[in-house]
Amino acid sequence: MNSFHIPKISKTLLVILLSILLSLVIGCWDRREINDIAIVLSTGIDYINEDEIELSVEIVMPEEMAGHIGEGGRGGDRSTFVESATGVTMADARSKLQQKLSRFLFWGHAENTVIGEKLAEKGIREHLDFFSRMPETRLRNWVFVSEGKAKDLISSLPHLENSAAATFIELSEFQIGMNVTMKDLMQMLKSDTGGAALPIFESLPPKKEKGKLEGRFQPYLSGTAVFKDDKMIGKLNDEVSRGLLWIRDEIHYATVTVDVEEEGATGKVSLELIRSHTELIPKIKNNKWSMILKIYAEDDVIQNASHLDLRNPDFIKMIETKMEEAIEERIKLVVEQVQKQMKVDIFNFNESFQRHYTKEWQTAKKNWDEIFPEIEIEYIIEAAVLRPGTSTTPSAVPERELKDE
Amino acid sequence: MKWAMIFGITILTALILWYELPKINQNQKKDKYVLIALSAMSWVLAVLLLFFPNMPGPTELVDQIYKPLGKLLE
Amino acid sequence: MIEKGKISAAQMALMMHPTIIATGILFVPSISAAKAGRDMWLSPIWGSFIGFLVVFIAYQLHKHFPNETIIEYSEHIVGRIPGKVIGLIYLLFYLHVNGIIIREYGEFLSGVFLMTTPESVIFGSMTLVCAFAVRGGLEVIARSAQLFIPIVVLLFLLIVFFLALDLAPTNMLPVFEEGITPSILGAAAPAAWFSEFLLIAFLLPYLTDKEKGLKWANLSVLSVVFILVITNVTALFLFGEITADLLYPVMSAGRYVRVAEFFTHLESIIMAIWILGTFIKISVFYYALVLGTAQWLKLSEYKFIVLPLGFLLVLFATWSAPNLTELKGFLGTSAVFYLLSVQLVLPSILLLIVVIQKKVIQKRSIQA
Repeated sequence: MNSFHIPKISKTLLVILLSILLSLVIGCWDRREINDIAIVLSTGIDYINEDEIELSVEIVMPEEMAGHIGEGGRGGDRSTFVESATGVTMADARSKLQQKLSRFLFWGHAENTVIGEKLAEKGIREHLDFFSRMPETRLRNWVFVSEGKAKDLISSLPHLENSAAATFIELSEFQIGMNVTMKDLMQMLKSDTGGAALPIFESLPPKKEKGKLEGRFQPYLSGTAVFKDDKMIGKLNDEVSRGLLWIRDEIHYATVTVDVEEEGATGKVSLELIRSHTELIPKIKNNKWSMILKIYAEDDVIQNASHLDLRNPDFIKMIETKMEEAIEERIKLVVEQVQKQMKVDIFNFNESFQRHYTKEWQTAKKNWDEIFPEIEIEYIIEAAVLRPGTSTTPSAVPERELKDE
Repeated sequence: MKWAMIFGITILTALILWYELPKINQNQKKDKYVLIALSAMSWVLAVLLLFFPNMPGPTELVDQIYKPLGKLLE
Repeated sequence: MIEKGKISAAQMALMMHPTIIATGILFVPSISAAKAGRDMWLSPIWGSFIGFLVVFIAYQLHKHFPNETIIEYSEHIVGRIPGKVIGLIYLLFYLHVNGIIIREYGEFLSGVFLMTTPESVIFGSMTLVCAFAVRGGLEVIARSAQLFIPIVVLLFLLIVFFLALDLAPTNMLPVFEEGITPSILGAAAPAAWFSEFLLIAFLLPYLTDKEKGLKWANLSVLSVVFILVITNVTALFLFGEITADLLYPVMSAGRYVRVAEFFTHLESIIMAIWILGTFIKISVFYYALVLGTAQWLKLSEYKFIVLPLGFLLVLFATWSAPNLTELKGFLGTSAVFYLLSVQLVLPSILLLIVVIQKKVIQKRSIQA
């Protein structure tokens, strides 16, 4: 086998040559540079007709984004633009959308998915599959329903941020309303008994108003959309949505104003929620299903518009009781609408019963839709006012008008 | 295209042989035959897979054998 | 002996750890979840019994033949021709299984990251790297395991740590909703993965501290149980009922991480775990195949068959399944029994024969 013998140097050379050749051949299939991609921030899906949907995407304008960083966040023009296309499925619309763009659509950084109101009423399941199946997309992707068209919502140009997407992200991080990620939504839809709930965003129409720039309108959280199976069957307004958050133990910010009695007239005291905890305690007695809502909330007084001197512990007690009533009232609002009228379990009662009454649940889950509206809800609410804020007496009230007993 | 692939496969097999054969001790006849036989097997299988990519493979065979048991887990 | 290298028992444990978890953390949670649902966190624990059993059997066989691998001593146990047949079964088995592992590696890579790259290139490049490690011998694989595995485990725990805020432990409840059966059915896939511990039959003869072999092998099983339970618990707490719907729950979990608004997109870490872990896994299987072949054919050394066998492995990877759906279906059903019969039943029979033979010889010597 001497014929195979090749001097060492030429062998090394050969290996190097081969590696160079190989490196030229391989590794180019998935090459995609940053300036070949169009980064999608928000996705909007709208209903067009029985067969078609409209897919709109909010895409980052690369130069704008770069410019803003250089100029220290001028907060001026929008740094994104919206493009849309129609198709029979999401994937079909995407390919049509791609034809309109010079860069490759990249969904890895998509943060929001907006579902148009009309589409939500027709059913959303088939469109969600796109997000869980496509390798680029993430399951942490805020999902919400838009009042009106999704395209209009993601096209809105807010005052504070330079893209609609940034507004949605900030609002979601703020945790004022419900926060639902794609993962959460899929979990809600997967369950065969519960409904699903998504926050609704609305964008104010541009009105000539003082103190606002023309053509800018702020998207804001306006309520909650209630889904049965995968179809939207109703909406809860902002006030009612708050009650839902209390039940689901998702409340983070709340300001409750209570009326306090004081010699004929009533004054007002506002309290801010510091922390709260909600516990669902299911009970089955004599085949009667009931649920105990146990809420513990800690609050601080942030405004005292009455004449009460909050140095008196009795007043604090009274405010606590009023606070408890106020919370219960808020919750009853949502219970009335959701449990009695819509009859969809978005309170997570199903999971609670499943965990505590595993055996009963096996038979109950088949007709949960009938059991759920009949569940009696009992409220055990405990509110604690820990601090009267940073002032003791109502400020700027003459001494003689103070009520301290 | 397929002929180019066969050419590539042949080159690859030849490279392996060319790299390994001189290293084998001259007295180890058996080693040499094993190396050549293994390379030949790879070459034949590669060419076969090139022309019949859907040829039933080892997994199908194993699946056939264990199907009655595998059904238990379906 | 063909293998002149020596490794320590601790190194063996470090090599075996990724050999189970590398593909285990990506494919097993979804397969387990489909069967066990909420009780999936228990499945690896049931499965680990198989792991301890296989380690016990391999160690007992090793005690009877301290300097031989399973390929060599099967000839001593059942005679030359049947022994050769058993040896061949193991070689074909490892060829096939390693082909499947390379396929799994490639499927994940091309399904999630390199969508247009031809699979043969992905298979080929990984096999080539592993071939270098195997050519380097046992010590090289052991040292790379020693180097990489702490990183792999650390990165993995890091991801779990970052997910901590998103985990909902209530997803676990109620435990045993439909009795204990689902969790045991869900243990089938982990059990098959655990049976791969038979590979220590190829490593035990080369230990410097043989007396510690059993201890470290068991520790290795324990560490694997720990990681698999953490994996399943994380997937369950995060995704709940939709775990079974996700092909790679751990991957999706890595993407789900979001800490302090900017710390996101950890899929590259999952990728690092996957590539480092799979590298060791493929190398260990590859090494068993190469060493076994050399012993089976009684060659003077094994280095020169590394590349031709690597070529065969790449071919088997392409040949092993027509698509991912069939591959996953196979892994969840027939493969379980396939792996268990070769890696658990066959060695148990060998051990049984050895024990009976010893008894008979003892009796004869007493009678004589």
